[in-house]
This record gives sequence, C-alpha cells and structure tokens, in this order.
Amino acid sequence: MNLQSNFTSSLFLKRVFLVALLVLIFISAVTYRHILAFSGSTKLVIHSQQVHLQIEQLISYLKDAESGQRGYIITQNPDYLKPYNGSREKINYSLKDLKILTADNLKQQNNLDSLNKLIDLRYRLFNASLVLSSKKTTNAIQLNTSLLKGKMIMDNIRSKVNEMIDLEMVYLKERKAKYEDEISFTPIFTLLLFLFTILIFVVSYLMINRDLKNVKKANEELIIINESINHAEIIGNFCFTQWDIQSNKLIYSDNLYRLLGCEPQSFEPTIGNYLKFVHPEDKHIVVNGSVNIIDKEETYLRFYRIVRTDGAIRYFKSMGKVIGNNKNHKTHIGMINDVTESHLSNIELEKRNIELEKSNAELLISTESIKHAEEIGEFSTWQWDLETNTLKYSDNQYQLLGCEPQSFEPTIEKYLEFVHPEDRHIITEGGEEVINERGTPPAFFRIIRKDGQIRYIKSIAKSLIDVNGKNTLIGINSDITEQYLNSLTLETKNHELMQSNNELASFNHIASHDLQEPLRKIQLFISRIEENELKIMSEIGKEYFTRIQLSAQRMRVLIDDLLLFSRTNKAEKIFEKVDLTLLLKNAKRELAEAINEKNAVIIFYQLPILNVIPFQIQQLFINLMSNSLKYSKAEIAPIIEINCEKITAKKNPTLRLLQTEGNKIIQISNEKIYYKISFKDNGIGFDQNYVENIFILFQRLHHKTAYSGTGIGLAICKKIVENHAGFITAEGKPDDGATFIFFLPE
Amino acid sequence: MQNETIYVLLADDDEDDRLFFSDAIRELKINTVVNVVKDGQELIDHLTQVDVTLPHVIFLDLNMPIKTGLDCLNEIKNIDRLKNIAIAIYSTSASEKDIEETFVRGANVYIKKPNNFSSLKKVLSEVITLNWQYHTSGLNRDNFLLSL
Repeated sequence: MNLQSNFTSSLFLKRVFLVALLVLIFISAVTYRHILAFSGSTKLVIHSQQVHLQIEQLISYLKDAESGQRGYIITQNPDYLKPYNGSREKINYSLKDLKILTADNLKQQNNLDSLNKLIDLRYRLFNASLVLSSKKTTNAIQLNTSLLKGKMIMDNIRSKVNEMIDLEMVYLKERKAKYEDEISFTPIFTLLLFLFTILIFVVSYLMINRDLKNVKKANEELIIINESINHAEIIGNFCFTQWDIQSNKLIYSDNLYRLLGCEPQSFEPTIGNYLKFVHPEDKHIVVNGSVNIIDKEETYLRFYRIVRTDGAIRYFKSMGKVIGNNKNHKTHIGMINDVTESHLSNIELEKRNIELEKSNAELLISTESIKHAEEIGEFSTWQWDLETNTLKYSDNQYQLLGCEPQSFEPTIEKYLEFVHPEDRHIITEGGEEVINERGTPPAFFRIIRKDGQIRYIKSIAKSLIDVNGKNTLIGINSDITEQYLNSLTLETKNHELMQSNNELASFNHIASHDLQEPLRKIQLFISRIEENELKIMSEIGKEYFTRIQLSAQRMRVLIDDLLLFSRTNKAEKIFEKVDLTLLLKNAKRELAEAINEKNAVIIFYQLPILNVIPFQIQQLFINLMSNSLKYSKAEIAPIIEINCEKITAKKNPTLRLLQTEGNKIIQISNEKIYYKISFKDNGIGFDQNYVENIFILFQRLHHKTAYSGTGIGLAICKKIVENHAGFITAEGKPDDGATFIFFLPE
Repeated sequence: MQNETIYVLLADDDEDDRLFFSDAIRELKINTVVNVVKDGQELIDHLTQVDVTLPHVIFLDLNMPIKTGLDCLNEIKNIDRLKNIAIAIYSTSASEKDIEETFVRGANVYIKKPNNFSSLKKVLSEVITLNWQYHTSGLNRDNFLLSL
C-alpha cells in the first residue's frame, strides 16, 4: 500500500513539475514579447519625433531659403543667396530622410509626395523671382505676382507640413498611449506569474519533502522486513536465490550458506559452486533443472539432497520461477527450503502408519478376544463420546440386558429404561460426577432384563482425554448378580457368626460373674459351717461335707481356668519388647507356694528379649510349670529345667514338621529364625501317642481324682503360643518325664 | 484399735452378702456402726438427707439394679459434701475393666468378694482400720486392688 502511494505521488510530482516548467516557458515568452513590444513602441515614438523634427527642419530650410531670397531681392547682396543656394540640397536630404522614415506609412508618403511637388513648385517660383529680380528691369508687377504666388505656395507647404505634423502627432499620441499601456501592465503580469511559479515550487517542495519522509519510513520498514526475512529464513530453514539469466549473475541469501553449513557469502555464488554441495546422486536434478527453468515461466518444485560441510545429509525442496516482462531481461527467483525434519518425520509417519496398521490388526484380534471374554466374564464395555454425546456399546452390553447385540440405538435414555426405577438416580448422578472428576468409585445398580429378571450391575467409568483433547467416558459394566447374592449369604453368615460370638461373650460373662456369684456364696457358707458347725456333725456328715467342699473348690478352679482361656482368646494383644527371663521369674514367684510345698527345683538359663504379649507369656510359663508340678511323681522332688536356643526350620526337623502340618496361615520359611524354649521335667510323663490330645480343651490323660488338672491349662498354652505365631509340642514317655517345647519367632 | 466409732455404709443388692458383711463386722469387735442400703438409688437418697451422719467408708457393690455402683461413684464424687468419703469397691468380679474404671473415677480401694468367711473378716478389718487420710493422699494404682 505504501509503495503504491509513493508511486502515485511521484507521478503527481512529475505533473507538477511539467506544469511549473510550462508556466516558466510561458512567462519567458510573454515577457520577451512584452519587451519586444515595449522597445517597438519606444522606437515608434522616437520615429514620430524624428519625423516631426525632420519636417520642422524642412520648414526651417524653406524659411532660410525664403528669407535669403528676400534679403537678396531687397539688398541684391549675393551673400544672402548663400543659404538659398544650399537649401535645395538640404531639403532634398531631408525629404529623402523623411521618405525613408515614413516608408511604412502610405498616408505620410502621399503627403510627402504632395509636399515634394509643392517644394518643387516653390523653388521654381524662387528661381523665377530671382530671375525677375536679377534682370534689373524689374517688372514690379511680375515680381509681385511671383512673390505672391510664392507666398501662396509657401502657405500650402505650411499647411501640408502642419498636416503632416498633425498626423505624426496623432501617431505619436497613439503610440505613447500604447507604450504607457505596456509599460504599466508588463511588470504586474510578470510579478504575478513569478509569484505563481514560486507557489508551485513551494508546494512541490513540501510534497517532495512529505514523500521523502514516506520513502524514508518505507525504507526503514523495508530494512525491518529484510531483517525479518533473514530471521525467518534462519528459523524456517529456507533461503532465496536470484539469477539474472542474461548476465548469469547469481545472488544467494545469507541463509543459503548457513543451510549448507558455511559462513554467509563465504564462496562466490555460482551454479558450479552450489553443485559441489549437492549429493552426487541428485546432481542431475539440479543440472537438468537449471537448464529447463530458463525456457519455462511456470513455477517448478524439486527435491534433492545436499551434503553439508559437516557431512550431514539434508533434504532440500527447491522451487522457483523465471520472471521478466521483456525477452531481454529475465530473472530467475528461487526459494530453497531445508525439509529434512519434515522429510524424516514423514518417513517416521509412514513407519508409524505401518505400525498402526499392524496394531490395528492386533486390536481387531483383541477386540474379538474381549468379546469372548465379555461373554464368559459377564461384563461389557461402553464408550460415551462427550462431545458428540454418542454412546457405543459392546455386543455383550446388549446381551447383559437380555437383548440381541446392536438391537437398538444406544442412548442414556434407552439404557435408563432397563435400570431399576429405584436405581436410576445412581446413573444420572454418577454420570455427572465422572465427567467432572475423571473417575469415581464403581456404581452399583439393578437392571431389569428384557425377560424381567433382576440383575445386579457394577459399573466402573473413567474419563479419557485423548491426544486431541477429546473427552470420552469409557466404562465397564459387569453382571455381579452371582457375586452379589453370594456376598449376601456371606453377610448373613457373618451376621450369624457375630451373633454367636456375642452369645459366647455373654456366656463368658455368665461364667465369669453370674456363675461365680452362687459358687462364692456356697463356699462362704461352707466356710461358715466349717468354722462353727463342723465339730457337732456326725462322721459321715463330716465326710460328705468335705466332698462338698472339694467339689466347690474344683468348680472354682474350672471357672477360673475357663475365664483365663477366654481372656487369652479375647483380650487385647499388645506386644512389647520384654526380657522373657523376667517373666519367668514372675511366674516362679506366683507359684512359690506350690514349689515350696513340693520342694521343686527350677533350673533356668538366660532367655531372650522378645516382642511378646507379656502377661500371656507369663501365663504360659505358669501353666507349664504348674503342669509339671501337678504331674510330678509322688516320692521324688520335681526338677524342671528350662532351656533356650536359637534355630531355623532348616536345622530343626521338629519345627519344620510343625510348620508344614501346623497353622496353614503362617508362611513356611526355612530361613526364619525361632527361639526354641523347652520345659523338661522328671514327672510321670505321658504316652507319645496322645501328644495331640494333651493340648485340646478338657482333654485329660489322667483320672481327675488322681491329678487335679482341669484340661484347660495346656489348651491355654497352645492358644498363647499361637497368638505369638509360634508352635508348641511335647515329648514324653510314661514314667520318664515330659518335655514341653515351644517355638517363638524372633 | 480406735476407740472412736467408725461409721460404715454398705450398698449391696444381695441379701446374703449383706448378711455376711454384717456378721463379719460384728465378729470383728471393732467399734463400728454399719448402715446397709439395698441399691444405688437408696444409697444416694440416704447420703443426701440433711441430717445424716456421713460414713467414714462406703462399701460399694458394682452390679446393682437401677443405679450401678459406677453411677453412684460418679454422683458421690460430684457432690462436694460427699466427695471426700472413702469409697471401697466391693464386687464379685475383678475384671481389669472394672478396676481401671473405678480407679480413674476416684475409688480408694477395690475388694474382690472373698470365697471364705475368714478372708472376708480379714479384708474388712484391714479396710476399716485403715488410716484413710494417709491412704487417700498416697493413692496409687498398684495397691488399689487389695490383695490378701
């Protein structure tokens, strides 16, 4: 746009200058003409005055001749004749002058002719008068007549001369007027024209100035554009070439050199130099190309490789066109673009395309597999394009609804028709949540199948935004009716279990409190009777009383043990790092009475520090020791020896056996470190065949009258060891002592 | 033995236990006045009478109808006039939970009802003759449960 306005303004300027030039020429011509006219009228004025003067001269000559003649006639003195004699000649000169002067004027010429005749006539009369006067015989009359005649002619001459002068005066007057006219008009006119010209020049100056500014601005813009193009070239990896075909002169833009890996303008731009960079296999493209382009005037497009100075191979796209409006001057304008990246990415794209096709084929297979999986696993998939609000269902989605695959257009509304009316809100509310939060916990709802069957559906949805930013909800619906029903039965069973647990707990409470209450009272009453009434009882009464007392005691022990057992089961399991030696000492103190009574010896060594439930382990020690004390031989003082060693299952077959057949929940590991703690006694022992039974609740190997056990103590031991993820076993022989061994993990 | 009369109050719903208690105290031959109430509500009513002689020690059974021993303990400790009376918990059970709770709420001693009469006499004698002033100040979890 700028360029356009600059062009028009310069055209306008040309016109202005032409006008100014014409005006100047016009002024010169006019001035010249005026000056010419002015000098012409000056001449004419002078001419009129000359004519006037000449005529006056003529008259004066005539007068001289007349007065000379008169003097002679009167005096007869020939001296007087002198002016007369010369006058004729002078008059002729004057006449001749006048003739020349008035040559352009016919009227004056005619006057002059008649004057000339009159003068001739006068001179003839002079001569006649002279002759008359010189004859001496003067005929006065004749002379008089001649003089009179002369006088008359003279008068005619005078009138003629006056006429001529008058005429000349008229001319003069006219010319003077014209002269005055011109003299007053010319300077004003000239001045005006000059002023006008100056105005034009000032205007043109201002315009030129303005245009100059525009041009300057445009120039600056051009510089910026040029710079931008330079940058654009660098960024866009392209460059320009100009080839003047006639002079075979090439111009390469700086970036061409950069694209070739050279410093800008580091070699002379010729086709030969350029060809050095072109890949040998592609040279023909460039060579043939440059021959062809000269003839054609259309845009061409070529691809070839070049080898840069650093050895890198780059792909160039070259296009260009020959421009030039006449046949003599043609310029080829070219643009070269380094398209290596896009070329390589094209190759990459092609590769990917192939991969895509491959994975497409794989997808097809996996889609088919999913279809089968869906049918077997009773699940279905769906996709919801949030932008177009279109849904896509897998075949099984229909089958789960009891319909034929793709038997209806999938829409939310249609799906909602299948959803149990009470559960529809789950879908509508859930959908919004998923859209907003990208993934929510699974939704559970019921559907009513086409055949009226109610099924339970679990739906998991996730919002997936693909590379194009398209938001799609993808979801999996699974028919969990069977699982749901199973879990329902499980729940019921769980509930029942909890109930029976609660019943057990309340039974425990009964055992602990309500059963103890009457027993305590029985015992109290027994003690009251024992104190005050026993001595007055009969012997049989005394024996029965003692039996009652023992039964009550036994019941007390049973209740206490049972309580202990249930507490082992239920109580909070708080593990602490404790020195087991300390716990053993506590246990020994608790049993001090029984130990003293039986004179028992307890031998023990340092036990480890372990993470255990302290009161339970202490109870374990108490139970094991009291067990040994209880089943000691009547006549021998009991000796209990407690040992401890650190082992692994790999080294200890007993532990390995216990691990494998024991608690299945505990992971079997050969490397796990255990502490093996054993309580060895010298008591009555037991038959190894019954080893399984001794740890079972209420199982006893001996008659209760012989030994006072309840069959609970060892069951508690087993429970405690299991609470610590350990194992317990026993080894024994009848009459040869027993060893109770338990393993606790480190 | 103290010459001063010791006022003792027992709150227990069990008739047998009330009987044993009174018998045991009588046999101890200590200058003691025993008052007996049959449940928690009666206990509170008794204590809040205007002209009542406040007991030195209250023996409180836990398992009582209407108002349990624990409720009574709370109420007593919330009444300024009563809160300094020594409280001996007197219960069949000796569960950790009960012991812990009554200790926290400010009971002074915990007695598990003994199985024979001589033990009962022994324990009551010990509790009644305790210098409560001293015992309250040295309140401590370890000797809270009175072991015989």
